[in-house]
Amino acid sequence: MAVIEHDIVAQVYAAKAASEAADALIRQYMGFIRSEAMKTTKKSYGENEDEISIAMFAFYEAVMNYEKGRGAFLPYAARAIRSRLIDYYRKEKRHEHVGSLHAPADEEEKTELLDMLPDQKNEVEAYEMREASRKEIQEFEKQLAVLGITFSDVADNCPKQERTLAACRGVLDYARKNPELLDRFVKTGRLPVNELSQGSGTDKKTMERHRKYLAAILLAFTNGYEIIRGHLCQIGPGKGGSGR
Amino acid sequence: MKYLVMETHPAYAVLLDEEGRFLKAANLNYQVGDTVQNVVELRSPAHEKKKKYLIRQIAAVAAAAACFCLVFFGYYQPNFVAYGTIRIQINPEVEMTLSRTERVLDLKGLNADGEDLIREYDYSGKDREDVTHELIRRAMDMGYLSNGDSVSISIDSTDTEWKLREEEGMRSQMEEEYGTQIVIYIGEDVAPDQNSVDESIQVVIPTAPAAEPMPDQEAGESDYSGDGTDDGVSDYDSSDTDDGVSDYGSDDADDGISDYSVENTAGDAGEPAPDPQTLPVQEDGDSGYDDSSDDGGDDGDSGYDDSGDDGGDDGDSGYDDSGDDGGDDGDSGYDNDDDDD
Repeated sequence: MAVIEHDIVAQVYAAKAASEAADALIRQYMGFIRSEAMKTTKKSYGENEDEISIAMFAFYEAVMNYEKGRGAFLPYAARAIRSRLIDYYRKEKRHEHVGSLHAPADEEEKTELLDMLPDQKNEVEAYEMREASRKEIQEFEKQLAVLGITFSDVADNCPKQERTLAACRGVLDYARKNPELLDRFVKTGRLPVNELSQGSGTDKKTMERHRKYLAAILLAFTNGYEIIRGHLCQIGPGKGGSGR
Repeated sequence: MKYLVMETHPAYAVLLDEEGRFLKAANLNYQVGDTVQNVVELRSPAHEKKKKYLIRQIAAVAAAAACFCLVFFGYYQPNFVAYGTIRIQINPEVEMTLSRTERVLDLKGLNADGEDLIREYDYSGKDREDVTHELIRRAMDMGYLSNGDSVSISIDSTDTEWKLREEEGMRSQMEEEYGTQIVIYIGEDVAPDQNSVDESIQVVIPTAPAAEPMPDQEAGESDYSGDGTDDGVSDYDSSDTDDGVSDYGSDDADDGISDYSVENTAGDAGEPAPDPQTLPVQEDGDSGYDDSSDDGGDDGDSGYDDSGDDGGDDGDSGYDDSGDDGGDDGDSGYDNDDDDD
């Protein structure tokens, strides 16, 4: 038992560092995840898609938060799954009156409510919209990859505190007002830290700590990413930016 | 808040919110490019800290409050909050305030002599017994109280049981310590010359040299003095005539409850039958023991010796019982025979 435990701890630590390792670990433990989910929710296989997703997410969360001193990993993960599922149910209860579109519309269970929605046209539009977004995002991903950054990295690197987030927004604002800095960034692949720091009043240390995030957010305001920028409408002043 | 799905993995997805935050959340069947609203965000230890702190602070405050209550109600209140008062009257009158645990919280003089009595007397930290003892000693030293004088003590509190217990405690303390010197009345509103002493417990501490002779009649309770007439409960001393409950001083002529000073001089009784005077000093009225009105007998509720009549006792002296004469009858327990031994 100790050997197994040791192995899994090593795997957990590997998964913390790399998202592929994390994905692999989850695939490996799907059985465990399913069984823990079923223990808590008492629903059977096939009826519990959402719950399984939550359970997988909880397992992933456990991987990211686990420390060697916390005892064995699997019991820790089991507790995490249970607690997340309970939270999920509490939230769901609040929205109980909202039915699912996939629920059966009549007794025979042949048609779903979704099918009964009149607007085919809207659906196509929605589909196309999503496709366009997807393309943009993929492009975005590629550009980040050139810089050695993945979306997961960016999420990990994103400031959690409001204060720091506001500082980063300040950097972005300054960059948008000075498009030549953005150009330089795109060309060189490096952030003009000095100018940005001076111009925005944010100190270099903070900028360095959130380098990957800043790169991503500044990148979003360079050529082509209209949809993304459109989504970021809340981000602050200077809408037009340097979009081209 | 809307979220744009940027990337998906089996167990999670990366989303972008409208304010520029990138975050990981549960992958509820998401596809890249979707815009979603209800998300299950990744929770990391850094976020949990605040809540824990709050809970800890509340717990700390609650614990402190509990400790405080414990100390306050367990210690402070019983020992330092006034629970009852005791009034002591000799000539000087004083009043002491007690806590539930008999600690003396305050002492004041109710008349000029009383103030004189307690001047410069430090009562702090002392209990009822000590203060009473010391004040009586002081009174004797200062000349306020001489042998044969009477002291009356009344106790008041809203808690009747406590009051009764204090009265009992006071009575036994007085009996033990001053048995032979002064007369003590303990009761609600005992005043030196009040007739009825309701429920007053008369503890006569005889010793005054010449007490009224009470031929016998002592209906009192404990006759200590044994000889001759006692009837009454315990006769210690034998000189005759005691009756009454506790006769400390032997000899006769006491009646009433405990005649301490008993001496037989037939003389003082005044009227043997009618009213045995117990103590030279007091005569019925409230010697406490001896009862009021009349003659040596006691009546009223002296508790010991009972009412009515003459030296004898009758009624409920409890010890010695009614009627009669020097002999004892009733249950003196000690010596019983009566007089003529």
